[in-house]
Amino acid sequence: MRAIGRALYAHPRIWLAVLLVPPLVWLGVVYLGSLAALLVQSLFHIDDFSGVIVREPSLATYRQLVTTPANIDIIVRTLMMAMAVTLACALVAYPIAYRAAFFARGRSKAFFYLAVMLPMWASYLVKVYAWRQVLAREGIMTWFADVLHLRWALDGVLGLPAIGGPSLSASQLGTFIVFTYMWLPYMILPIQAALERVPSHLLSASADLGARPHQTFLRIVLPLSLPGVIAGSIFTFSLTLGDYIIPGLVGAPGYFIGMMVYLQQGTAGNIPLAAAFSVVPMVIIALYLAFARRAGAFDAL
Amino acid sequence: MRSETKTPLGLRLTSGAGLLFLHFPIAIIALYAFTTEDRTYQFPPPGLTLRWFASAFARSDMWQALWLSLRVGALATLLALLLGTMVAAAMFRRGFYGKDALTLLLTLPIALPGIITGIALLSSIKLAGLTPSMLTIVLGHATFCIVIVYNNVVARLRRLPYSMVEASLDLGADPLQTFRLVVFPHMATSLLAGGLLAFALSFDEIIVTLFTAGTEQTLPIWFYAELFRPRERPITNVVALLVIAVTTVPILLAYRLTRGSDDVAGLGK
Amino acid sequence: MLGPSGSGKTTSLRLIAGFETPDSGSVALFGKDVAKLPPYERDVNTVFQDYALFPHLSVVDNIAYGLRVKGVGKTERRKRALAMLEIVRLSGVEDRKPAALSGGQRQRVALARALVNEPKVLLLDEPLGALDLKLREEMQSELKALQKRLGLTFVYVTHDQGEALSMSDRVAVFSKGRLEQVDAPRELYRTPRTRFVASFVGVANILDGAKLGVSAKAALLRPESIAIGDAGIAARVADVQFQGPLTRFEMDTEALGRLVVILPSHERLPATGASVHLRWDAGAVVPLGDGA
Repeated sequence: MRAIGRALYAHPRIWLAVLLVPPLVWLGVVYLGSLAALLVQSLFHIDDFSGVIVREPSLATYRQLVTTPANIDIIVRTLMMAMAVTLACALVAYPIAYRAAFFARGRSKAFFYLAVMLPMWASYLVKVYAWRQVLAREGIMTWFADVLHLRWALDGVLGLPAIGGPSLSASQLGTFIVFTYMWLPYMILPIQAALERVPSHLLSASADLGARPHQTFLRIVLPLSLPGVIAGSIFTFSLTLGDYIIPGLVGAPGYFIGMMVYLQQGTAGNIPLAAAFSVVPMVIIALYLAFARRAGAFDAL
Repeated sequence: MRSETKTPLGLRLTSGAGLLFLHFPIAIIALYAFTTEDRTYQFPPPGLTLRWFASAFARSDMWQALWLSLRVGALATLLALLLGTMVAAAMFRRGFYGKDALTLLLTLPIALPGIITGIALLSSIKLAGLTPSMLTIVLGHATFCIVIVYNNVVARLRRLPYSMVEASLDLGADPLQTFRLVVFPHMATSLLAGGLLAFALSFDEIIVTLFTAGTEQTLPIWFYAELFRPRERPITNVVALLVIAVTTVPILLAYRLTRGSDDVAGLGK
Repeated sequence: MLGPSGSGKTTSLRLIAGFETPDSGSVALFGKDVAKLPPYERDVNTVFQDYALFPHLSVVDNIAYGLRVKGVGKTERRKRALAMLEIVRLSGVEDRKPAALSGGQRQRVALARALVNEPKVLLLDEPLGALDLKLREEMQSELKALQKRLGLTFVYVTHDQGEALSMSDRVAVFSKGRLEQVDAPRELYRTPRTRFVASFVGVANILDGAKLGVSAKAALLRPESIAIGDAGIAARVADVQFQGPLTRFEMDTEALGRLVVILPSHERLPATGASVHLRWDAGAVVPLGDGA
């Protein structure tokens, strides 16, 4: 043992290699290798007549992706949804994060933390299923609208083009609500982390220099917490772009990127198109990460 | 400024409404587990009953799925503990070539959408000529569980001053003794917390699993299939309650283990 | 080892301890080259600046750590750890965790933990830096007494010249990674060899050598070797600082520019603006080299 220890000390690089090789093989080969295999597959294409995958690199599949209007619709729909969900998450999350960061101490801090953590970790499918029940035509939202004599308002919203539908659980609005719900904790935690890093004496200094509370908020707190918001939006964006289960369970007809990937690789058997579709969120997120890095959001992750 | 008593009314209302929004669907699940109506989600429920609990527990396919999920979770967690700790220990050393690239690689499995991990793994499983099985499920789960364990352990190690290691070496302990007597005790609870979280994550995962499972049914896949059945819907609610109970315990334990330190932030999914 | 921060004294200590390996040269410990040995095979122990006590171990387990990894039995190592705790005068806290100790107590535990291994040399890296002034002075004399009693070589890193002068048998002065001078404190103060040593150790008037009649380019004149008299060079008192037993003057002279003069406070002393004459013995002028 002593000899091993001595060898390790004398050659720290060997020690480092011993530690790093197994996880690197795992992440590098299993994960990165798979990503590479996926990218390669997106360069293949399906022969239109025989339905067989042609294993020759070409951009045919990408051409198909960007020239089919239905595909463009899907990409635009998914992006719009991701943006709307991100915005909604930020708006709902901020007050919770703000209160938890600045007003909660000791026991109430633990309460806020668990109040966010537990729904976050509660089963994904169970939560989607719960919303299916809540938003169903005969479910609690409709009942609630009836009780408040607001049925006309609910029907009015459902009658709107694009976001409406026969019931909340079969409308884009429903999908939007569920997405917002599902990713909300991913927005709260980074914002709270960013807010907690704002030194309290900065707030005192601002007040001392004559700023009113709303001025302190707009000029000090908000800019300093922005990296947290951006970090949170990476999650909400990425999660929305890649989800294929929520819109299938709650929502109107009309595919999202994730659903197309799942369908194309599964029943349709068009792996190249599925791969090309999955490159879209990768590119979007890479661009987004590059932007977030410049905004300094990584420290808040 | 910073006291609970002076929380402004507007902030109380907006944050309160937000928290209500976060918790109310979970209450609904519990309620519908007892409804007598098994085809629609009628509210208020026409009546309450306990019979769905009996029906759910009588379903052998549910027990099989649960058993598979437990085995997958245990295996994936073990792998993740081993590999995640190794990376964290390597990262504990002062800067080395490629450290930044490695950090980026470690954020990828959580920063990229799960569906990409899923389809990428599936295509390489096919490429390698493997049949999707429990092993391929574990392969996928371990990939993101490594990141969870790593995040927890590295946050804890960051708070171990390097002078502790030097002090141990100085007092005559060789590197292996130093790891066993100083570094490991310091990170033990974070390792346990990371393992619990990794297990909870694996137990609940579906996005990647649907790609890598083939014909195998984990509990979430069983649950997903159940959602498309027109009848006996409350059985799903009973299982949902069960799942929430099973995942809440490790989360609360993990929270207790990391409480009072700044690495609770590592508890994010 | 004395020097400003960044002068290389801590690096030298780490070379002795084995945390750094020299690019060239050797580290000799009682004649044996240990440069290639890892820290855990060297007969030296270190008291760290931040003490580096293991937070998960009790005081007695911290002290017994070195014995434990050498395979000393449980009862034996507890006995020796408790004995060492008594030597550093800290009995009664053996079962506490380091977090429950005061700064001074932690310092003693760190000391005991190093000494229990009976090292040939004890290395101390600014061990008193985190203590307040009073505790610091107390620990200085205690450390000195301990060192005498154990008959052990202490290698002590500090940036405080007062501490270095009062505690050491020999002082090594570092500047910008170089060893400027190694000497007994008295010699170091009286006959510094370089401009840097002269100004870093004590208060110094460093003057043009030619004007003081020595061949070196620069010369040192300590403020306390200057006296006020009826003859000598004319000076005007620019500032007076009362410092208790001593009083410090800034004096402007025609020939030598501004001089610092320190006189005992009980003498009759001039006030600001007064004109006086300054004199000193020729032997008080020390020629200085330029150093590195």
